[in-house]
Amino acid sequence: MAITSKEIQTIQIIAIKEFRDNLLSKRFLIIGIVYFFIALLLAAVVMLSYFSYIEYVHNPNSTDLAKTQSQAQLDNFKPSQVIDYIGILNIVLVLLTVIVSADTLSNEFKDRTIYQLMSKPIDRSSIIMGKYLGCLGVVSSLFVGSALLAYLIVAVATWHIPSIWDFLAVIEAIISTVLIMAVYVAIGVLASSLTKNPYLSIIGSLLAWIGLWFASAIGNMIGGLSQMGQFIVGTDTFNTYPIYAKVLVWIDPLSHGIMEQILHPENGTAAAGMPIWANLIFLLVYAVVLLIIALLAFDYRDISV
Amino acid sequence: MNSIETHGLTKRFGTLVAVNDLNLNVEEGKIYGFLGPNGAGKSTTISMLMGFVRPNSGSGKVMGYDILNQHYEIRKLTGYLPERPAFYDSMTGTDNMTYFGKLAGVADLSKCVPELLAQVGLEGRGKDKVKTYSHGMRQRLGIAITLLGNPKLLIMDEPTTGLDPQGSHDIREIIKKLKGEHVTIFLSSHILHEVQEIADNVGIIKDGRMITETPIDNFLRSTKGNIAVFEINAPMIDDKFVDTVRKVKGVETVSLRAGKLFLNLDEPAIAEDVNAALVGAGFRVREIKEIIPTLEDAFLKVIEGKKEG
Repeated sequence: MAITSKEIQTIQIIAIKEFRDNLLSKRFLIIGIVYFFIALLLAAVVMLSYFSYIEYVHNPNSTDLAKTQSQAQLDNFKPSQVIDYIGILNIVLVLLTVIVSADTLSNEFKDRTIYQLMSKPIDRSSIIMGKYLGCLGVVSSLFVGSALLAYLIVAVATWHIPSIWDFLAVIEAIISTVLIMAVYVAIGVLASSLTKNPYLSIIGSLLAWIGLWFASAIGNMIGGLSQMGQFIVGTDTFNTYPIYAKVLVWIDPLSHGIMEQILHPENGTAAAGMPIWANLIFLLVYAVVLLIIALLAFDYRDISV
Repeated sequence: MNSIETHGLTKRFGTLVAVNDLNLNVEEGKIYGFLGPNGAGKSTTISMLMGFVRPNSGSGKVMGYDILNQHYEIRKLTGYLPERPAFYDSMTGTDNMTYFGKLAGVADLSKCVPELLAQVGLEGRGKDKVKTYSHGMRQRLGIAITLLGNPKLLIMDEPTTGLDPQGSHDIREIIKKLKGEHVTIFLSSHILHEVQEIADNVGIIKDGRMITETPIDNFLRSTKGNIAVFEINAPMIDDKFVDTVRKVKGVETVSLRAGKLFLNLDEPAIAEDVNAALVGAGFRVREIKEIIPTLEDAFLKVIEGKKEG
């Protein structure tokens, strides 16, 4: 099924409107501004700890142990540490992602604008794709903008020119986070395509998010219990989980720990039993499958308000 | 050629049969009044024509394209005005039109948007946010959006609801002008005197079924049992006057009420014979006019007739 240039144009028109509407919405502005300032605050924390290590090293009153440890921290310091800190905010980011995307279609039903939209010569799939990309674009912009700005501030303030490997790790971490958001936007759009009640679609998406978190927690618990009394070699215990426990962990994108895997390769090269590339492909396929389900759900439903 | 035709179109919502075996024929270039009481299935029929709702059975074509799988082609040629049209309230009227115009693939929007806004009486208000619009202005904006891209068929669901008399008149004039441009108009409305004024054909639907589909003149006449009713106004009506009228071939009944003579004729042309007979007999006649029942009378008669049936 080839996508025509008219469809690409339609998707672009809808995506731009969705992006702009979300960007100017109160909920995005409030949560987005809070997120942005916390990200900058985390950059300040990273800088302060860097400067405190310098002070320890140069302070004649510091003990030798403190000096050695501080020097080690300075030697290993990379501006990408700030991305690791910002990763703590992923839960806020996912919450914003779910809220932004979950009523994207159901609001059109509530406001009755769906009739105007559907009466134009456009495919239902173009509507879904446009709204999906608009929502993903706005939350990704917030994350990418905040992360890169924080990274730049830390690099400049600490006078650390990032190595190419550090910069690539940051890009990889950003891509992985965008892919995690791609999955949650797909969950939101799917919920939105199933109901014409925006409150129901938001609640449904939040329950899905909580459900996925519970699933991974239960998966890890089952995996942990299955290892009791066993002697396990190495740090990657995930591979010893029963398959159903693995599946429960896999279905929660946040529990893969990809950012940890990217920014701290010294802790192991596998997250959720997969190398980085496999995790990224898994998330991409996960988002695409959810999006296809949303497309089918919207395509087969009657449009009536 | 028909702009719209359906055969045995049926839609069920659970156990409710909203549209039942509906056959519809809308001639190209004509104004078709689609009438029916609330819940008769008018909106569901329109939704199926526009591809919003899938029929359970039956088939249909709009502008020659299949309603089951050629929605894109249908919407390219069709303008649709929903009942109580809705817009993005935080955007201006112009921005709403531009957005929907872009989606419709309309070229030169910077020129045609102000033109259409002026055509529906919204000049000078395009830069205002839609949330500041009155109900009538929203209706006008809806019509302007419907006209984007010069559609060949307009499907309008209650286009004048909520408009003041001037607004309703303006919209009727727009519809008449579009008919002059050979645009087919499918009009669902509760305001029957408006339909009577502008429609060529009517289709009446009740409980999802088509009760009648006919040219409006025939429909109005059919409710009188295909008899033309005329009224004669003269300075003096005496027995001889009445006898003269009664003797004309094709005059069914004659009755004198309130100084006026009422005739039931087999067909309207017989009124000319009546006039000739009266003038020939030396009577003076002020006026002979046909009494046409209103669409409302005819509609109620058909609907109530079906209810009794």
